[in-house]
Amino acid sequence: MTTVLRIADIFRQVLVPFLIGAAALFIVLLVALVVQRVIRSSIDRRRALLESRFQPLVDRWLSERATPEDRARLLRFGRRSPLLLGRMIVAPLLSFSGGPVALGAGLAVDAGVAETWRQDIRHRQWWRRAEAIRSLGVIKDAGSFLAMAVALDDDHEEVRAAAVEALGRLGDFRAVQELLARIPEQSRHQRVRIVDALRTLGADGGPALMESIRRRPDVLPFVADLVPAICGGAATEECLALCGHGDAPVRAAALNVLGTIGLDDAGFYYALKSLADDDAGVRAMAARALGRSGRDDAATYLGEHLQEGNWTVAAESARALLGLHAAGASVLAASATGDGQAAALAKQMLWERQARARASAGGA
Amino acid sequence: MLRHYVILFLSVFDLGVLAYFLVLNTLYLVFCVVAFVKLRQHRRRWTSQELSALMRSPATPGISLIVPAYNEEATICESVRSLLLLNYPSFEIVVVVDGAKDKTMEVLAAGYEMQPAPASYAQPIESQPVKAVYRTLRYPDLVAIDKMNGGKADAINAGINAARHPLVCVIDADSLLEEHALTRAVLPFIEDPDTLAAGGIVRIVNGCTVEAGKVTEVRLPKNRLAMFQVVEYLRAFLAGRVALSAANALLIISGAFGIFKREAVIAVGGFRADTVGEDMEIVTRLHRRAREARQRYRIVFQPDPVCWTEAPESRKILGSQRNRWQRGTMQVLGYHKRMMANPRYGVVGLFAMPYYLLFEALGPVIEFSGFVVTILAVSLGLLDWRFAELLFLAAIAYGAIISVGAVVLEELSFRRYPRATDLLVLASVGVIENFGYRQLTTYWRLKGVIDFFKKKQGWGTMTRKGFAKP
Repeated sequence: MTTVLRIADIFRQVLVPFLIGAAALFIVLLVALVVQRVIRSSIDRRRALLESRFQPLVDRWLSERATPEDRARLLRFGRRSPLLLGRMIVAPLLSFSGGPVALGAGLAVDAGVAETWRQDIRHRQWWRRAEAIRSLGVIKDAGSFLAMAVALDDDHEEVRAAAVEALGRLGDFRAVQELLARIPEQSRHQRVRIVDALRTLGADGGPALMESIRRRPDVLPFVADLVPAICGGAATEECLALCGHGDAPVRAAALNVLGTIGLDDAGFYYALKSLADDDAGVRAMAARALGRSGRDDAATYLGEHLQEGNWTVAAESARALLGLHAAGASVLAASATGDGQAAALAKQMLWERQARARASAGGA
Repeated sequence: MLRHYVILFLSVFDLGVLAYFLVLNTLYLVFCVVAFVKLRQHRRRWTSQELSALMRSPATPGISLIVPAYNEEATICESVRSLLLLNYPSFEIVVVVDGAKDKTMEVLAAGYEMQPAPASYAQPIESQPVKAVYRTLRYPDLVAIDKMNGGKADAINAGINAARHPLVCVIDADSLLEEHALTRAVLPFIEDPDTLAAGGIVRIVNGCTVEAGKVTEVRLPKNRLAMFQVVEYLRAFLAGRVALSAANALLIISGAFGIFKREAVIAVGGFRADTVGEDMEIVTRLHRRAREARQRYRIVFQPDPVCWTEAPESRKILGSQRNRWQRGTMQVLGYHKRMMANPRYGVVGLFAMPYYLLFEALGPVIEFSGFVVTILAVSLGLLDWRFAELLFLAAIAYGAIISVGAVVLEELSFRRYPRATDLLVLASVGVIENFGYRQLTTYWRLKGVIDFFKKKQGWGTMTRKGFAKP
């Protein structure tokens, strides 16, 4: 019995000081958090005050309406709070290109903000590095290209993401190669950023993008949705060649691109041929491309695939037939008479066709 | 002599209960520390810039929202309206009306001009027969499935069959998702393609202002029971689930809001219809299958996508809910007993399953008997008063510290309650809930244990006040 009581006493001796310490710690933490809330709200108020005072000056600067006095005030403010002024410059520029960006860049350079950002590229805190890189991208600081390219391999993913975004905004076509080279080994999230950055480069980046795909066809599946918008018809030849590539995802991506651009005679031939591909993904993409071609002679071939063992291919074929108007409708109507998968898909498509027709008649 | 042995037995039993509370609360303290580190990393990692990039990206995966509905005629149109307002690049809403006895289907069809439409889709999971599929041209991404009654799990399975996106999000018809909840919840799938499932945090909407299907002002509830549940949910989600998720040992994704990879759910045969804990069961089965296949995978808790739900404000309904949760937990542990303490299942078998067995399944029995025996024995003079003091310290004082810790975690991470006084009120509630409320939940859970052994089935009644403003 005494042993049990001794154990209870040991428990008590350990527990009481531990609980007192933990309670004291949490009380201190709670008080600190309340104080922190108060400090934070006062900092936020101060920041809001500075923003209300200086953001209009920045806006006037960006619209070339700033007076010499505005300029002097901004430069003085920039020397005191470069990062805050930097944020005020960057925020409106996120949705601008052209003149305002050049004006914003000029202000950032004159007020010493750009220099602070350039130094921050190597800052030990990752969020300072990320902000600096992103901001330099927004003001299109071409001199930072190399630093941004180096940051693509930064230890922190957020910094790498900032570098991707900045390179996209920079509009330097050397960036295409730098970005695409890293696409296959990146996380899916980073790939999303890279595709986004390439889209920002726009149609001017088309030749560089095609050149990169020519060198590394394995990147095509990652940028297939982007190629039609950026490269347009210029991608046709390359994609036709890739319809015979050894990797199924590359073939499927090539057909995806061709389907979006539109099929010429050669493309139509390749798409028909790909309906017999071993890979279901390729067959599905071929069906989709044929549906978008609008060519009546594809209907019979697509009708045969309504019975496909792979449901995705069958569904893509049905959807493609819906896109082929009269010829597709007659194949669908013929298939809808029986039972099974083909009939069910055909009935669904015919219903959608009817419903769309009713809706457009109602709208008219 | 007999009295001596009785006293010895009671003392040893009390020491055991004491050790139980010490281990439980210390584990929760560790969870709080782990969660603190993880929450900080999470907040820094997923900035608003990242989220807006995701919103623009064509690579962001589409999501099918599965909304099982049973007798929801009063709220279904409002719920669907709030879902249509979600901000996400590509999603569809699949409402599954599970053989409702009221006019849920008719109300939905009339409200959104839906008509029966022939539909063909692969049906890899078995479910009760589908009577009709309804679609509307006004909202091409809204589908309603009218099916024979088969329970919530069966309705979810029918919805998964009809889903056309690679991710399915299961939500309750009476919950509210925040505008950006899907974008935030999908992040783990983008970050790591091996992610099989992700759950978001469930917060209590009682007391908040809701307008047009959106929470416009976050306030603490006025009802005491709902207030206790706010702290309870913070402790369970922000400390428990964040830490378990960090170890890839999360066994529950709330049925009110969870995203799953469609293929993965199909591969395990869908949700199991013969349990009241279908949300825990599917997650446990996903773990089991992936571990048995030696496959790399993640099941994740995301702390910031918020699903607002109404907490019960009456003891009867709350008791019925806790009873059901308890039975669900015990059913799932029974189905997957093979995983228990089995090294083949890694951290899930060696830590998560024993943790749930000891602290969730057996917890109410140990806690209830500990309190009752100690109080009786001390008042009869069979036990030294120091045992009662120790039990108070280990169970109640330590428990209060943990609850305050969870409130601190909330303040350090998301700060959803805007006023400084909210923080102080929550901290006080964190202390007060240990004097009565937690013992009450222990009692309800104990009744759940008894009902489990009586093989009681069913969900019990769950009446809600609703939050839609006219």
